Amino acid sequence: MPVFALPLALFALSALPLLAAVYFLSSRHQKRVVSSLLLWPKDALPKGGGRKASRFRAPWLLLLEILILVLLALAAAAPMLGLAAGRRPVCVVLDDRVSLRAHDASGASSRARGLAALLAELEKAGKWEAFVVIAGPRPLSVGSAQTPEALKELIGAASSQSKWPCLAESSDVSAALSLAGQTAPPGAVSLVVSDRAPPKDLAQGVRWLSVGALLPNLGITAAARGRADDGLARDDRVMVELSNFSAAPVKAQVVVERADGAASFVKVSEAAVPIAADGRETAVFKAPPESTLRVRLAVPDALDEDNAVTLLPEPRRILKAKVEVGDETLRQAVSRALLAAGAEEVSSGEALLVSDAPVPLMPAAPGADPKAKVAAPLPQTPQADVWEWRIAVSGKEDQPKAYTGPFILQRGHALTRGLLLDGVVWGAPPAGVAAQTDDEEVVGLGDRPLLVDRLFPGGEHRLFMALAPDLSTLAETPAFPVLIANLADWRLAHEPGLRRANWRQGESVRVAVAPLAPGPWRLEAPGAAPTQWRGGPVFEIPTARTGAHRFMSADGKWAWPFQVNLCNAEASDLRLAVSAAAGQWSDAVKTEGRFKPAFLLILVALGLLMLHAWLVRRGAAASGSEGGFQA
Amino acid sequence: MPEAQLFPSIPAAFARGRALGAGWRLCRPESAARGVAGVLLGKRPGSSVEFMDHRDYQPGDDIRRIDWAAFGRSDRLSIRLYREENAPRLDLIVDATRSMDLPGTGKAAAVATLAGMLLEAAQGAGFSPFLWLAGPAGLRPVRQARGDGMALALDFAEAGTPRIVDRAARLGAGSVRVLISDLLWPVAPELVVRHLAAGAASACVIQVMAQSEAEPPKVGAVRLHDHESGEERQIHVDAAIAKAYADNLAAHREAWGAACRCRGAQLVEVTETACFPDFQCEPFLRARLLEPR
Repeated sequence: MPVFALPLALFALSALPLLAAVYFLSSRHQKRVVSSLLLWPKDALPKGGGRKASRFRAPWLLLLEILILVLLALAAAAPMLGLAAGRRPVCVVLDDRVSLRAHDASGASSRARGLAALLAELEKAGKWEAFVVIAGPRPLSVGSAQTPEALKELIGAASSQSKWPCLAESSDVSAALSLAGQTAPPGAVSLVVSDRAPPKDLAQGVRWLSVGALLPNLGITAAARGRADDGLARDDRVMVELSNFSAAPVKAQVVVERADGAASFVKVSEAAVPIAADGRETAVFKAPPESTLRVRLAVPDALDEDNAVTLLPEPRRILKAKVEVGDETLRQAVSRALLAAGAEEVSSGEALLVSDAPVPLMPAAPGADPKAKVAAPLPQTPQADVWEWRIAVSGKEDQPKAYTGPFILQRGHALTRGLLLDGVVWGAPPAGVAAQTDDEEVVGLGDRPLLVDRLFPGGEHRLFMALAPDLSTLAETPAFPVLIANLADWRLAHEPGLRRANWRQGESVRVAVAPLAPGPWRLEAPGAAPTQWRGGPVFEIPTARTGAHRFMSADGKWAWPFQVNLCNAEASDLRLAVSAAAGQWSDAVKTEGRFKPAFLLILVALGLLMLHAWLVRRGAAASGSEGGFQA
Repeated sequence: MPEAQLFPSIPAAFARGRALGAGWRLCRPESAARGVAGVLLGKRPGSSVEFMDHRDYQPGDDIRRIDWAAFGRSDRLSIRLYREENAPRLDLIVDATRSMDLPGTGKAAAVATLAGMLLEAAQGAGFSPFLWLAGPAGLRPVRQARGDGMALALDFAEAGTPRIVDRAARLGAGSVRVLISDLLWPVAPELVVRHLAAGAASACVIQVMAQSEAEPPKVGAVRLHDHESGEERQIHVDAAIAKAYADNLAAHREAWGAACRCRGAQLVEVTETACFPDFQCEPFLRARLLEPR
């Protein structure tokens, strides 16, 4: 049975009666009164129809024209014949939101309802071939099936392989539809199974089945853990945010447990937290340090996945700095600012160097100008990334001047975050700091660089600042500790390892690996095979699944575990789920592997057209000699 | 698309012919049209008082014409010959069947115009005009040769084949005989022309056709309706059919022309354009049928 991509073109067949009418009207005999039939040939019978019955003489030219018209109309309708024999291609997009795991009192989940609705909808489509795409944060194609059994098997396999676990905090259905459009044959229709309402601008050919259920839910929407040594506390502190997504107030029973062994937990504390309808409450608990904690709701509800979070001990990350500043006032200002930023001042070892000593110079390369001196390179030890902040203190011999601005800040640089230099008097030599071509100017005054950042191939940074303390108020203004705090954060961000151990699903875990092992690095995530990571010095790791993760070097020397929890208010709010159906499938259905004979039909029509022209021409020629064409 | 021409009614056309005929005169043939007790001198010996010649007496001659004086002088019996005194006659035979009044054409008006003009031209030349209407029953004389009676008689109401060879009709001996018809009926032209020319001073056949009949038909599917018999025939006219029609017409005219040449008669082929909008005299002058008065 052929399928037409443009069935409206078949309306061209309505021209057939018109053609026949034109033909018979044009061949209708007009009455002509003559004096006598004496001179008229008696054997000249009419070509076409007439009132008198005579031997049937088929109007072959008319039949030829009808055939040409039919062929052209069929070609315009883009018929498709083929191997799939009318099998309708359907892009099945399965939402991977965690909210699809929500179950009602009977235990039926939205996911199960969606699968049943999917099969029922496909049953109405007759023969079909489903191309299944999972719509998570990133779409994933899992294959195709042509029968309900094969589709169930395909979806079951996807579920067992964690391809459709319904554990995503969000889903990008548009991207999934785009991927499905690329996976399925052109012209395929789409069927979306989700628990959310369809978009208002639902595209043509997309059928949207919302299989959600409006259920009350209580969930943990945020969780954090503080270290015991962070301040004066001796215990770690755990903060959880509890959200009540229902129209009735509830009392949440929260249990804090610590890990005792590989899979068992011991209760540490418990509290009942009253939460108003549609309310949100925060609860803080003390917990023993250096142990894995689990915070859970004691009473199960519609969605289990947001009822518990696991919190690992946060890593201790303190910046070490070595201050070698001769100017006493400036040195004290630097030390105070470093202490405020949480940095630890050391006198030896690998640390951030803040110095006002001149940069050691070394002769230029052989053959170059012997007077030219270049800054000595930083030590290139594999495991030491030495950052320096060189403050070029200007004396009277440099004839420094005091500048009040306007200062130009490179806002894209990490050092200028929240930095304001309004009202600051900055004393510096007229030429500013001696910058090189590749230096990034962080703070400048016109064409006069005051603070520049020089990046070295190993990832190290050396900052140069021109400052005349006697003429400057910078060290006495809030801008100075802001500058030092930014420096500390920036440096810590480039320290190897994780800044946090507990992440929310959907966040990108930032891991710095330089100058440690060059790689490759390995990521172990729950429900997925380990993946290898190369490059660096910083990796941005997406968190698609909840659970315990570990990022480690290939040799196992460096390993940083981190935990991903759901903690997503939108995912926990089951009141956003709806049960509805929207959209219609287009009749324009195409199937992969179909034979499209439109071009062939056009060729045949052209051939018949040429035959028609030849017959007409031959008839005209014969009319002049033998009495006309009598097809 | 040419503008359709309007033709006058038959009485009006007949009157127009009369008016046109006032400027023309029917030609007298070489063999003088004979008549009885005429007022014109004939070219042959007759019974008038005008002496023409003598000849030897032959047995059977009227002994009253013997020139006795000449016998006394020459002792030979001779006969006095006097020029014949005759009254010439025109027998105008008009095909009065229905086919002569073809709808949508000026065929009937042309026939009426020619009839009126010939009758008037004949009278102008001293002829005694006699009008005969040819129908399926034969030739029917129109008694009132003058006035509107003749025009009214041209009604072209009879259907059928005109029977020209009507021996019961008393055509004048030695008259000038003119037949006006479209000649579109199945008959041997020889029979008609022989009957027409028998005993006539001269004979002339005027074939009047509609312009649409004289030209090859246009291409297209037509349903032919015989105005004479009512018979119909469906036909798809193409180039071959048109050529066959033209060939048939040419053959038909050639048959009539041959018959006329054989009998010393004249054949004039005209269409309604010979009378409308202006009278075209050339065909009649060439046939020596008319001459300016």
